[in-house]
Amino acid sequence: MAAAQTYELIQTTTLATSLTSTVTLSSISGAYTDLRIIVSNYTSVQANQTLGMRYNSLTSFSYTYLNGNGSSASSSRASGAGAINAGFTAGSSTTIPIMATIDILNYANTTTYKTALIRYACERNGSGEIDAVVGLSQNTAAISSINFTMNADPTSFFGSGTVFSIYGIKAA
Amino acid sequence: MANTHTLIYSSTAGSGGTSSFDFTSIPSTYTDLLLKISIRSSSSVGTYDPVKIKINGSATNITVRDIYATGSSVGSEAPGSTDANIISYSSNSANTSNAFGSLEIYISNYASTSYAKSISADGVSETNGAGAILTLTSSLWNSTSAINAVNIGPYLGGSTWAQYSTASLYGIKNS
Repeated sequence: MAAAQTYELIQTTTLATSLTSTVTLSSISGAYTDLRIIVSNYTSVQANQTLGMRYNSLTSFSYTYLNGNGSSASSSRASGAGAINAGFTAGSSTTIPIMATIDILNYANTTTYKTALIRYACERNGSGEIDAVVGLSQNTAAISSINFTMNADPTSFFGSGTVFSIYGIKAA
Repeated sequence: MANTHTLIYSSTAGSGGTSSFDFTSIPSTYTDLLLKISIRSSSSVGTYDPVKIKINGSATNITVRDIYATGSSVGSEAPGSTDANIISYSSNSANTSNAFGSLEIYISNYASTSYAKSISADGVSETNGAGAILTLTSSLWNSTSAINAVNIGPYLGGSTWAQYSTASLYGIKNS
């Protein structure tokens, strides 16, 4: 018997232009156990942006982060935020990309609040930031859509070629 | 359903260890690369051993930035010069016997010939004593060449990855 496929692509989006301020991964099937999202080849048009992440169009999130800039580490948190601050993008570049990995476990259950675990890698060839972030919304609905913005600002844009891929990981 | 997570290569250090894990002729048919590594260095210098990465046979054009914690201190560093390709740290022979570190390295968009390559790595070494360290690392290979080879080696020349160290390379495909 062939082994069951446990790591499947759900959908992927590659931005064709640099005028995209919001990316939404919608209609996420509840057929998996966990979700993994890879944001790659990620560039920003404007400098010093944050990557905002929301799910299910919810408007209140808390998050805690660990940040390093190459000389010191720090941590802080926020609550009642309009989006999870998934990472800080030091500087700007349309040729040197950064990446993020996001894991959301047990995303389809309707009993518990869901926690997102985010790793954000922004190395800019001698400058940059690195973040580890955990985010939460106190909502029990299954996650069916995930939304990304730059700075929660409609006038800030992702760079052309930025890729958002979401995978489903199945425990059975 | 398409297979999106495929083993490309896997290697285990035999008796006497291995000088490095060297993955070459990596096909360009995937979107991202994922390395999962379990290592212990033969070095007894210091309490843990830096892990160096080379891409396409070279240590040049690589920069790193990390957050680290040792159980007694936390900080961030961005090694320069000849240490600019330290991607993480591993257990070494000065530590508790049989303690191996774990390291996961994600290389995004590795086959691109238009962009530099962003890399994220998580490494841990727990020894129930001295030499414990965890690192979260952001790295860049500032080249628009496609990546076709990755080498993971210990810091000190002459050191090896101990017997039973393992490294597996997976291709992640988003189509």
